[in-house]
Amino acid sequence: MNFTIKHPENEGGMNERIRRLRQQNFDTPTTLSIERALIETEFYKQNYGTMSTPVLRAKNFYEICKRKSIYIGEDELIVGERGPKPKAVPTFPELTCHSVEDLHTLNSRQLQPYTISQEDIDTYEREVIPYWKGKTQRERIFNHVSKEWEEAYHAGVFTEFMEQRAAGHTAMDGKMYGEGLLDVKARIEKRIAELDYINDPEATDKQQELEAMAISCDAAILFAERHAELAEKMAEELEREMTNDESRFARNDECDNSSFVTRHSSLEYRVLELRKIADVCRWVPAHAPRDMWEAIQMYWFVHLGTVTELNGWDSMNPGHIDQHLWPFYEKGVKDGTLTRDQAKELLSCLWIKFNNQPAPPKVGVTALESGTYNDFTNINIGGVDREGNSAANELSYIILEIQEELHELQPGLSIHIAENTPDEFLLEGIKVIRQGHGYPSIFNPDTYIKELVREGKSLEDAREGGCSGCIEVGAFGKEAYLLTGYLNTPKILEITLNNGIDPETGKKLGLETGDPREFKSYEELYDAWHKQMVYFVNLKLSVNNYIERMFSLYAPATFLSLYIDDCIEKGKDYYSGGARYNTTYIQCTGLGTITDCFSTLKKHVFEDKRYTMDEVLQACAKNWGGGEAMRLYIRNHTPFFGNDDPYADEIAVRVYDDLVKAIEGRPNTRGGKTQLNMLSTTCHNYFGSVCGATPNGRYAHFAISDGTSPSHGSDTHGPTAVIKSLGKLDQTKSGGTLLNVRFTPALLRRDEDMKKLGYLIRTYFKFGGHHIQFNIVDTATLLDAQKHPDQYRDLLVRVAGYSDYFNDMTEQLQNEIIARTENEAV
Amino acid sequence: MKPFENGCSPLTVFDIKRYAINDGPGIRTTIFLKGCPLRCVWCHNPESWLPKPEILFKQQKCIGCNTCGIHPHQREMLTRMTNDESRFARNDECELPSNLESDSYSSSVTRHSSFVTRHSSFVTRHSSFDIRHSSFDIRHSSFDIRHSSFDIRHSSFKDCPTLALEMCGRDYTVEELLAEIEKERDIMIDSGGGVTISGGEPLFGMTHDQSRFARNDECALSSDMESDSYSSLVTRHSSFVTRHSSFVIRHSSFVIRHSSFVIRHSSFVIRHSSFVISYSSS
Ligand code: SF4
Repeated sequence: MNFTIKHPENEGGMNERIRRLRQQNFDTPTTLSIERALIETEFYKQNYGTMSTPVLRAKNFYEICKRKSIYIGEDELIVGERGPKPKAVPTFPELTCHSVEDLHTLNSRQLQPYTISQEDIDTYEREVIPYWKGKTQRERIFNHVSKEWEEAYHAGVFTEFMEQRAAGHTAMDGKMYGEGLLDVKARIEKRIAELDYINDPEATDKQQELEAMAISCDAAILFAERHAELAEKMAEELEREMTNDESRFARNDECDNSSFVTRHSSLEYRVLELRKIADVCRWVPAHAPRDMWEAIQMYWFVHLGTVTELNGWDSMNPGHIDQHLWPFYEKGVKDGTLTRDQAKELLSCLWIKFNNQPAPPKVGVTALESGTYNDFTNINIGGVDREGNSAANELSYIILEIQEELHELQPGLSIHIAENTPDEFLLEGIKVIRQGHGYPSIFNPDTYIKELVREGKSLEDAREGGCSGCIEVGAFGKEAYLLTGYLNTPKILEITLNNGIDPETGKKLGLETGDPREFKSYEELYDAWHKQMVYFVNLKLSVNNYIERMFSLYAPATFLSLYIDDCIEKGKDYYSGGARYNTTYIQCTGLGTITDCFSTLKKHVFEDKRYTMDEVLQACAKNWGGGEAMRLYIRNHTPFFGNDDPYADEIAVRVYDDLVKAIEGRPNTRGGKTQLNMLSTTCHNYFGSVCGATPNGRYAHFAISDGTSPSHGSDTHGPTAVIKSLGKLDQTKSGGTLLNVRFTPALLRRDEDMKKLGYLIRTYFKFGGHHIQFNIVDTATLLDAQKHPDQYRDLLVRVAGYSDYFNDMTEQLQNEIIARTENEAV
Repeated sequence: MKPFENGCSPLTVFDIKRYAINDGPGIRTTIFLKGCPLRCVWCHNPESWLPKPEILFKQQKCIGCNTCGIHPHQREMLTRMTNDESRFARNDECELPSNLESDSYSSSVTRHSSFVTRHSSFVTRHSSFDIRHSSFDIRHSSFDIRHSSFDIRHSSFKDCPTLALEMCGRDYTVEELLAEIEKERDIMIDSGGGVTISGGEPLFGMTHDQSRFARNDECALSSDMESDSYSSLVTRHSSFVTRHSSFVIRHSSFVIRHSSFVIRHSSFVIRHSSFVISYSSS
């Protein structure tokens, strides 16, 4: 079993195989597959109502694993796809059922299209759509919510993550590498045997859930087994071909001797590879992996399982993969069965797999709000182990190399730089940053461990944590942390300034907190905003809990639950409080913008009395028409966030602390609590688009600030001032903050400059920074890319917690990125 | 003992740049002092020439809103008088001597020539006098008279919404300057960086009040300096000044008459810099 295949091409760098796989991936269009929906609909039609929900879901998953098309591509070593082929995305009608119009739009739109044939659309209309009418999660939610909630939602005061997708943001710990699914199943059966039906009133529920988990184990094993069969079949076919070749050669039909030998030997290699693939798929995930290849394939099957049973939001994630795979790498290298290059090739194959998984297409507000085409997998490397020691190892460096060579959309990469992480590792990371693809982003374990411990995790579990998708952190393999949606803090100010009315929709969305023209002091204004903010947070929370229950009742994740402690021990689902830790996040957006707005009003209206409130409000209402001088005065003469200016920074700290107080500590339905998060993904663009002009001189419908970054062009004192401003927030109170910094390439020209950037990062982390990321690209390049998109097909740019192709972005998002403050060399 | 207690005149700073990574080792804070004895044609920051705050007018930023109340005609004059960075934009990239002679810059130079000429005559006059500072200062004030007609409107320039009219340069007391430096202390120390004094010609700006320095000389360079947490800065700082002076000297070879002036001043400044630093600890 322990043989590895030595391929002649297999030498350093990105080898030919990986080059081909990468190119293939790049050239494959994204398509929509109706296969999963058809299998599921048929299954539901026959079985709905005949069994408990967990068992129904598990058997549904089993059915999909049993019937879906299996794919093994040429050149592949790591196998398995979510759809029938690479970049074919299934739909999940039990959550959201796309309408015929949705499908047509997806098929024909310019940006981020999903190709689907007319035939498939017709089948969908006939077979799938009628069955799900009124039964989808989405309809359940929208039928329940109050008018107030719905109006605020449609006006863009907040978004709702779980209205059309399952919760995601899940990352794995290392348990799958020590335990096969057969072992897991044995554990489940033992738990079932222990159930006490007399004294435990929940025993029946637990039994059903555990039975469902056991079925899920079988499903994944079957899925792998089918890959083994296919690989074997392909090997046999190749062998037949070779025999034919040989006999032709013997008959002298083929005169070109050398081409025959080349072809023959490469076919021979492929046969060996396919046989190995078959062996691997027979062994994992049923048993614990024994070598690097099996370990990687193990992860990939687990990954596919979770994204097949439900379409969790971004970021099913292997967690600290460099730590998890280390024992396999070390052993393989020691006993001579694995070389560094082979390890790199296998990992590269996995990398390509990540990039083969576009996100299931979204609809409605979520499609506007989330401009992401791929689901995020944010690979965590470096950081610390459970004992707190620096964990960067040779694999971490290999992964950096792969990331630089492949520079695909996914996976994303983050390097985790604790105080005890060697500088060498940080510098290697910065070298990749210098390439300008927007990754890796950089995280500070010393801060996020504090965040996680503050939320109630044990120190060891916190150390094992990290970031799953953008910047949000959790205890890997032990936590169900649901991100539930973004809160538009500047929009809430807009509503406050209009006494509860949203000027964009004309509807009364908020409370009547008084006409701001009557406010005598800045404190009155702030209090009014605060009241509105608490009102909207409560409005959102009231529905969050309902949605959580809907998932628990209708869409439990019985496969994912196998891998999240302590679902099996508790006999409870991931969505029902089975996890050891259960957090619900609301992500607040626009801290920079709202701080600047408050600073403007405080200084110019209440203190200097340069303008009256009425003048400012009228100017905003007219989108600064006729008020350009006022707008520019405000832009140029107001203390803004991100300049290490106490005037603005104190406002930011106050807003942030009040958001924490409003959100933190409310009970969710899973025995856990709500917490604040500060990521924005692309939502700051959507939120800006629904928000009129704001007092800080921002034009109507332009993006608001992202994450915790300063608002566009407001930070004029360089990156050190930015990190000092950010350092004033107690970041341990959130589940993540996000800081985007744009540098021109000139700032990283010399090796010495990279060291200096390293110091900047270290200093920010000393101030308690959670995360920082850099876009190394100059404005001229971006403008040119807008003009000549085809010359910049692979221009990757950091957006928020992820990078994306510049060409795939809406013009609005492109402009937003161009408007970010560019730090030049001085 | 506080060496500057007797009232040291402030230093005129025209810019403070944080995260300066090209001005010496580590991450630095660069303080640009205003004032320079030279009037090089290729100067990148001519607004740093005068050793006192002055109003700059950047025409391309002006939206003609008239908030400042300055007559358009006068704004026009201001454009000619003061400096527009963009016109010099690329000058700093050139190899100085060759470009000067190869004339590839002629259009920009010509466009600017009236200004440059006016200034050069000033420089010429100035240099013949600069053995004695007092006479220089006299000269200087006459130059400023030309500016003064605009100074009258200082009261309204602050209202300019676009910063088309902007005060270039601000007087900082040593305490204020140290407070600015203090903001960056963490990152400077972590990165082995420090403070870089630049200009203008820092030696020029820093010495324009001789009496102040005379008094400072009397204070012994205190032993504070050595026990001081800022001492690493001192070394770096003075070495930088030294390096910087050699740079100035290179310049001076083009303006030969200036060289003696500059060299003499550099020794002054090194003493001064120790002071700034020792002060921080007291
Ligand atoms: S206030 Fe400023 S922008 Fe307006 S006319 Fe005067 S200089 Fe121009």
